[in-house]
Amino acid sequence: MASPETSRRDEDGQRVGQSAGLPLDALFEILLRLPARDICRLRAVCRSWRALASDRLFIEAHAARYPGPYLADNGGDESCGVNIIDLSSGDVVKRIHTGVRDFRVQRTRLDLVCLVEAPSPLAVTVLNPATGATATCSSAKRISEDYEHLVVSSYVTMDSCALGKVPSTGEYKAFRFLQEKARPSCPCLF
Amino acid sequence: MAAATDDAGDSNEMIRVVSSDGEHFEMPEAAANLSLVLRHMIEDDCADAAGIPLAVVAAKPLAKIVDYCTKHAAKSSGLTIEEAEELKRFDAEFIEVDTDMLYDLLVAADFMGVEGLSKLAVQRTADLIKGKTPEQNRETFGIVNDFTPEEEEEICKENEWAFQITKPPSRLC
Repeated sequence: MASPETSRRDEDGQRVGQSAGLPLDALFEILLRLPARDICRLRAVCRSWRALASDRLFIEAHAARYPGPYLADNGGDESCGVNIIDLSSGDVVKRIHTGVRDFRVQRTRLDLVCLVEAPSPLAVTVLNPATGATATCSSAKRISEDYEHLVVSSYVTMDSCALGKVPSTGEYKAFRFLQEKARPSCPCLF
Repeated sequence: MAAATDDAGDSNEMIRVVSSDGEHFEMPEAAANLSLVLRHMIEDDCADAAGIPLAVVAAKPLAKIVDYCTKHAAKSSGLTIEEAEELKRFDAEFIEVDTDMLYDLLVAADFMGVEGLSKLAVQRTADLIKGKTPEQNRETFGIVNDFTPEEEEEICKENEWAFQITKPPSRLC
């Protein structure tokens, strides 16, 4: 096993190799002690730091260490970003690019953020703020037959939506409260 | 010199260790026990007069680690408030080292399983990183920027909010 002294520097005296000489598990621990803002900046240092600072396991461990409470909002402009705000300090601790435009943050539930109104007026996008992963359900395949004509007629808009999880199956379900133009609200499940 | 006794922690036995570059060091058994690796070696009767060889720890960091363990073992239990304060001051001074030594301590403490020292070195490194720009961090840690300018620009764009360091953090109204 090469000693750290000899393996760490090349001829120009620059550190080379994985994590610039830092043991990966030590770097993991170091980054866990840094706020999200620093973590995002570290992604621009070098490839190995970016790989760790973007790693799913790391991000989950980091999120578990800073349990909030947090608030999500849609950045206040037309961008694709969701701001995660630490309620105790009021600081924006993380900004997540979603790739989804012109959405509205409907609610946060089960550690997920529900975005509505994009890409279509009836779409619900669920964002995992720990990983940045999004899942969009824009189709209305399983809409109740009684209301199917509403979707087809495209005279409906999203009024609100709720998110829940079926404990026995682990399946997530969203309730969309659709508003038919010039008619009171009617709930549709998909 | 078999050191495995039931009350190993109270033993006055000196444990010898040898650095990767062949230097010998001695510390009380209670100090050696703060290292998981050394403790296991002692329990397995591997601590003899020739010393325990530590293949990846050079003399310079090993001297520091022996110093750290000896100090902490002597003050391990029943600390008064003053003693705890003193130990804190010792730690703060102990870890005021350059980045080369910090690297060596991180690697060595990790390898030897000295938990307290690992935490100390990790926190110190985190403090050095905190609040710095990527360029400042590269300078501090002697890291080569291996991104293309395009990649770098893209990362900065993706994480734009994090680079707005001159602006005070956004606050709720």
